[in-house]
Amino acid sequence: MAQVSEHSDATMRLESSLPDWCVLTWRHMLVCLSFVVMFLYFSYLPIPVSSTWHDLWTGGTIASEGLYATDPSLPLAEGVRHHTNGWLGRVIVFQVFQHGGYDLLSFSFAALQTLTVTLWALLLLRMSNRWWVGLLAVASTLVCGWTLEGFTTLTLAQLCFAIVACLLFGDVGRDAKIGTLPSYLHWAALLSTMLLWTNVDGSFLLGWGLVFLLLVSRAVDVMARPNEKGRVKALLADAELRQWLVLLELCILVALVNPLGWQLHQTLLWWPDQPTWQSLGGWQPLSLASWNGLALATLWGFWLFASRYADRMATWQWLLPVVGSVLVATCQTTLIWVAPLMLLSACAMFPSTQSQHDNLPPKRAAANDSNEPVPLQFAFTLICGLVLWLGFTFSPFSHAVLGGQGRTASQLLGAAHPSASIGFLRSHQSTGQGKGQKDGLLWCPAYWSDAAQAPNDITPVFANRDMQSLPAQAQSDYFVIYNAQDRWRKLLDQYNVSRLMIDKKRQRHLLKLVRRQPGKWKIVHEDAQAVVLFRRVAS
Amino acid sequence: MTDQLNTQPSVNTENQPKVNRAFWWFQLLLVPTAIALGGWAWANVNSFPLVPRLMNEPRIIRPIHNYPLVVSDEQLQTVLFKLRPRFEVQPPKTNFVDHALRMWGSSVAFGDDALDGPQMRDLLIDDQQFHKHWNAGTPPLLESSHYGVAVRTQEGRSTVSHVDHLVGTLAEIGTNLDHPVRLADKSASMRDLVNHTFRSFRLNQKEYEWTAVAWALYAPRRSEWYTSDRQQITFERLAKRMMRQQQPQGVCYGQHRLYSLTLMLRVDDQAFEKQGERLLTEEGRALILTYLHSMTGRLYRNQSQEGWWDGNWPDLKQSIPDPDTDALSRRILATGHTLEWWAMAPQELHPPRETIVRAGQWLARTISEMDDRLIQKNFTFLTHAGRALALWRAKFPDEVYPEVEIARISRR
Repeated sequence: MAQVSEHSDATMRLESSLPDWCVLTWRHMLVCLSFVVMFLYFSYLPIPVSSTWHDLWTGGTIASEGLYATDPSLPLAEGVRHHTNGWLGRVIVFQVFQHGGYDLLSFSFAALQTLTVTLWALLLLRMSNRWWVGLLAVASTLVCGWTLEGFTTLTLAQLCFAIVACLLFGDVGRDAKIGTLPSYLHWAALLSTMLLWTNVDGSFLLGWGLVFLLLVSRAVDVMARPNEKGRVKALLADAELRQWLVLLELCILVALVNPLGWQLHQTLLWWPDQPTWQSLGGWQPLSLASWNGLALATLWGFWLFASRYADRMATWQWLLPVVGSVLVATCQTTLIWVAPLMLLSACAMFPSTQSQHDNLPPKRAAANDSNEPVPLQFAFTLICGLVLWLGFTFSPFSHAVLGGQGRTASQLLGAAHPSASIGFLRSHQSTGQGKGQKDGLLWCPAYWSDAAQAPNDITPVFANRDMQSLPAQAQSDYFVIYNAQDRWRKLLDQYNVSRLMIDKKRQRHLLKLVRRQPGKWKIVHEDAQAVVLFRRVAS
Repeated sequence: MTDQLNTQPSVNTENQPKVNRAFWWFQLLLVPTAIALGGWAWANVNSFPLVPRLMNEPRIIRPIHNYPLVVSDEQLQTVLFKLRPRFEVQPPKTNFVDHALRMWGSSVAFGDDALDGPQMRDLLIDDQQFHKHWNAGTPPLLESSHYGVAVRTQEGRSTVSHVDHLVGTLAEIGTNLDHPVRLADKSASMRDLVNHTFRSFRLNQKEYEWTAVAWALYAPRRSEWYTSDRQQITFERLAKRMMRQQQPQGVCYGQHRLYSLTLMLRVDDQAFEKQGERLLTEEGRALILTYLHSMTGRLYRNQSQEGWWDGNWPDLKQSIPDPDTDALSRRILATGHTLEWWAMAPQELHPPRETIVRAGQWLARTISEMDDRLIQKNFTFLTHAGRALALWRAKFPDEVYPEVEIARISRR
């Protein structure tokens, strides 16, 4: 009995020495597990050949030569106006690669993406006080995950977006759900984040849009309220409205702090070659019978479900989903931005009842009221710790602490990356063995062109990820060659293509034609992914 | 501040509305100003001039070398007499007529059954004259287009064979922009033809050499304009496009590119001499000179003993691009075009004199020995050769032709 008593005392001492928030429940464990799984998923995604490489090598070019008017690897785009969005983001991607190679690129993506989702989850939790919103945040990220293309400026922009949302909505407590204005201290943080966002990615316009919508919402709310002295007068007298307006103007003003200054704002007026719109994805109408269409419908379903609980709905709570849906309808890749906002407006509609019980262990309260021995209350806390530890050990980055071998380059880059062919091209370029070919263009699928670049040794290519920079005729000619339609051989001559890299999986027809009748072309390298051909040079 | 803002009950502001007049006056100034500035900037940043300023009268770029060893007076007279635009097949192929017009110009008069200069020009730019030769069912050569007036190209015997060759020809023979052009249903002018070339142009189109010739001749100075793809075009960019493709790729074994580049250099010189302004930047000019030097080097190395070049003129180890074509035709084409651009090029781009003389002599001998059937068959290539031989005597063919007539009369 004495032993039991001592054990009981020891338990009591342990419990009393730890604060309440350390007592976690199975719900916390579930959320923790979902975040760990998401982190592992992002960790094991191979570095995409297109997006990350484009940002990486353009970042390298900017770092060494400054901002450019024409992509130096894209001679066919000469004379077409061009704006490099997110110069700082690209330089950051390049510097990350310089300092840590593929490993750090992969880790940065996983860590930043997880951090972004965590911020959203915390904000949703604050808005709704429901434990399961964490799972919702993870689920929505994974649903939209196909648009996440490795560590790019988009990764940094999403983090900025989450911070902006936290600063804008962070003050919205349980009793003040309507979009109230953040504090002046938050303004400084908000404007700093907007400044960073302006320089890391072209999507900063969404931040302006968000503030503008909140301004409009406020105006509508004030106008909708009956007032004896007139609604317009009430609107003009509204302090919050004024401050939203000033905040919007300041957001536009701080965007001047960029290497291009006022020219950045001018680029927002470019039409139809709108670089910001294109950086968001451009004109890509949503098909309802697609994965994105289904995701949007599900989000609306959840929003409608949540709206049943709303005793009063502020304008921003319906305006954000409506405007967001219009945006997604015209450019489906913007779902990644709109989804968290829809969740946010939905979560803000849940009532504040049963608040504390979701987050605190119910047994704790019971234990204080009785003299019965309290069971171990830190079990789930320990399990959460274990889950985190297991997540770390299973992650590809654990070898830095635990030892062992890291992932090889081919594992990091994935099976689709034409490493061997690109290595062949680089070695032949640098050693001069491809003499006679270097003056011409390299034609390879646009999704491989950026991976073929090296920051200090630019290879002129026919097309790359910046396809919209090419004149319309060059774009259509690219696809004629890609699909081996009539004239493809003549076009290769016309554009002075001296090296050709063919995707064995997606360009079977072209490969068949080249094998059957090589003509001016000679196969110089072949591996599982690609075939490399050089133009025959007689002398 | 957070607490103040968040806890500040909205009803307070409703109960005691205080309109901040200074704030709203400031906004009233700021917002319309921003909108006006935005509108102005919008119009400016999205403005893409498709046609630069042009001179009404095109430049005439005259030949500058007079080397009798390349072709003697007698040889030249014989050659030019053989190359009069007398066409056995009627109506004559439009392609033949526009090549003949380029060679002979619009003022030549032959006094026999050969087509005179004005006749050739009218046949090409006057729909009524065109349909006097071609039956009514033949589609017109000139068509009204969204951009101006288009020339039907590579659509059969009644159309021209090279993109913008007719416009280039009319520019080279000195046609003013306000010169009337008659379509089936309306009157237009040379300016409409030129406007069409600007507005329909794409930098990466297959053939662009004659377009560049026309533009250079009408351009008063260095200028920038845009394609309808919104790609900025300058003469340097055009030149780079011409130098991009490997030789002998392109039309006429890539020789039109060399001629156009040479003409750009000459226009640049003339613009500087007459107006003190240049067409090309120093860098662009240096690039063209270097390129043409290298082409001259290749031609010098790969000339045959007899003096001709073939379709593989840049590299004899390469196969000939069109081996099925008659060898004589290929050689006349390659040699005639080569002598033509060298005749217009500054001396620094020439090979040793012997190379030119051998080529000129081979060409003059060969043409002199050709019968009418062969001349008809190779007429378009021969116009370049005949023009080239005249240029090497520092004259245009129509300037030599009176001597041809006098010589023939005196021989009789």
